[in-house]
Amino acid sequence: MAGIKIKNVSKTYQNTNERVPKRIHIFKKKIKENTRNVQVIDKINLDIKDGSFTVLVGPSGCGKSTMLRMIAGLEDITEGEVWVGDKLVNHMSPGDRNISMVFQNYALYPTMTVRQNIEFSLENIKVPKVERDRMVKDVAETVGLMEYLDTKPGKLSGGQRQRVALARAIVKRPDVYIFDEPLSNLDAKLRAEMRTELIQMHEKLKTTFIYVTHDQVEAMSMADEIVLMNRGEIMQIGSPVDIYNDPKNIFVAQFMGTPSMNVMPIGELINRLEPHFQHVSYFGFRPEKGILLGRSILHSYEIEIASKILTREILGAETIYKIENKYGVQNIKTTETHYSLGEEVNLCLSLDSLYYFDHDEQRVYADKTVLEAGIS
Amino acid sequence: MSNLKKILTRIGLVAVIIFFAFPFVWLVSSSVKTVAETLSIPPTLVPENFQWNNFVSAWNSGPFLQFLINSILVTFGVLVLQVITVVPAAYAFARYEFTGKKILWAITLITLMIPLQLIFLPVFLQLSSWGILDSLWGLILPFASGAFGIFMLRQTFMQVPNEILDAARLDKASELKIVWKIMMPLSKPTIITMLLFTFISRWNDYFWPLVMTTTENARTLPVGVAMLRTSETGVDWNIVMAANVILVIPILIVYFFAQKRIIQAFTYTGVK
Repeated sequence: MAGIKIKNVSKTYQNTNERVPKRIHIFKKKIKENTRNVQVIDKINLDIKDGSFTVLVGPSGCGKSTMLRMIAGLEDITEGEVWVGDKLVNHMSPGDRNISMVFQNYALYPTMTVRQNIEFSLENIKVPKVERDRMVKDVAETVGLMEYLDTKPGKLSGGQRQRVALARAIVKRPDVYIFDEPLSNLDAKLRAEMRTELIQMHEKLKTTFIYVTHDQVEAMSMADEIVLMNRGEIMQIGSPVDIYNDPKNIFVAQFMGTPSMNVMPIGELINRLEPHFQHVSYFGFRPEKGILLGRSILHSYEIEIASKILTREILGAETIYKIENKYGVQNIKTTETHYSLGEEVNLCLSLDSLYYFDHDEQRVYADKTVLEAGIS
Repeated sequence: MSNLKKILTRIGLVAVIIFFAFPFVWLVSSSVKTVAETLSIPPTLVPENFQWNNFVSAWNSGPFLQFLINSILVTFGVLVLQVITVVPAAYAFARYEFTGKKILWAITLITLMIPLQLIFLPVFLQLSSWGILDSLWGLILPFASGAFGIFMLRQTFMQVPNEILDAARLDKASELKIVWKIMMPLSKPTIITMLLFTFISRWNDYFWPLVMTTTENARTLPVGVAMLRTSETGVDWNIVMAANVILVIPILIVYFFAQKRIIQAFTYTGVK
């Protein structure tokens, strides 16, 4: 077991010798424009607690996989330090770091049987045959692969292959587990199942888990701590609840949650803010905080905006309406299903459900008292 | 319409088969004729009397056992050395970034384009200065590596997903182990094809042994067979053909067993 400390880590691809991986497409432009070097990670500091389930999340190309690969030792570190427990691992080869990794494409050895796949690492550190057999058997029982031990991975289903990958990771008894989008190749149902299993596995092993995904649902549902990244920088670190309820900027606010937060230019709403909040440029609210009411209904919401229903998606338990008003187009999530297309409604919001951002898209904290009461 | 197309395709295919197979059928047929029948007009495709004895005569008309042993030693020597040199070279070209990689790769490819006839003289002089003319080493060493093999195997190695190598590195496997336990088993069809091509080209090679050897000590089967033609008593075509059949049999046997792998190598689309 070990925590991980990342100190001032940067990653720059020198265009001459190292090839920039295809996945980092966002930054590729930079090569042509000014320099031959491409920076994908910019001076990141991160402290991953021992035994935590930390999820690195962000859009594709944000540098999260590069971070993971630097921790695993599969990618050189241009600058800074990576510590696993009390060991500085910058120059340690991947095999010496005692880290297990589960890959998106499983990365099983196709010509070996399940048993050989699992015991390959044990073989390499010269664990005696008897001991090896016992360990393989134990772990195969845990993940439910006993009957497939002599099968080759090609004959297994996606879920079974992922189990082999898990078994291969567990059998090493590593200090840290690293998961690189391990569930992306599975269908929705299996993904949900595996999610639960991974959470249980973490409970049982109590080892540090670092998990990379671009899927915010996975991040929200599994993490103790979420590290949200964009363009090679950390946008926010926090528990899922913190990140959802207290986003520090528009990127975080809009990345988490489906549909994402409605963010609009503040418009005339600014007249209702106190003078020292005049630098607010945007306001936002979560789709589930918007309430749709018929035009004629009386109520006591602080904000009321005349709107029109554009589209309606009925998802079963809830319905998502796309509405249009003077602030633009917004999504509203509600349990009401009876509004029809084109219907005129009022969008009602309470002031404490609003978020404010300045023109750099950073959060501005305003409490209710700074806002004048009144109805627009 | 589609039926007509099918029929035409079939006719075309049969024509191609006849075109390619006829010389071989003619070879086999002539190898069991009498001398007179090989030259008779009109020619016969099926011999009147099968002269199985031709094979024995061919075998006894020179030190063929020695030729055969030389052929086997040369061919297998080259095969072993090629595996030793080609696999690591292909792995390095496919998986490593190093200074001068592009230039080295270009040089490797250029060797594919230069005909042997152009460079045999300097190589001959080189081998002569080493004192290995008219020896098996002179036939083996110039072919100890091959650009074609490196090229083919590099392509296959490049298809192996990076994650598999990453996983192996995290599993603490050495590079040698990665090549031996992961890359080579994954590239089996290509390696077999490469070895088969080398086998055929070495086994059938006439030019190089002809240039490099002066005595029976190092001559191989193709040179031996060709020597039958220059015998002073005139050419016994039936004997020459019988010797050719003997020459070609090992290749047919090897092809028969490796056929499936060869097709795999050319239709190989990656690892799932």
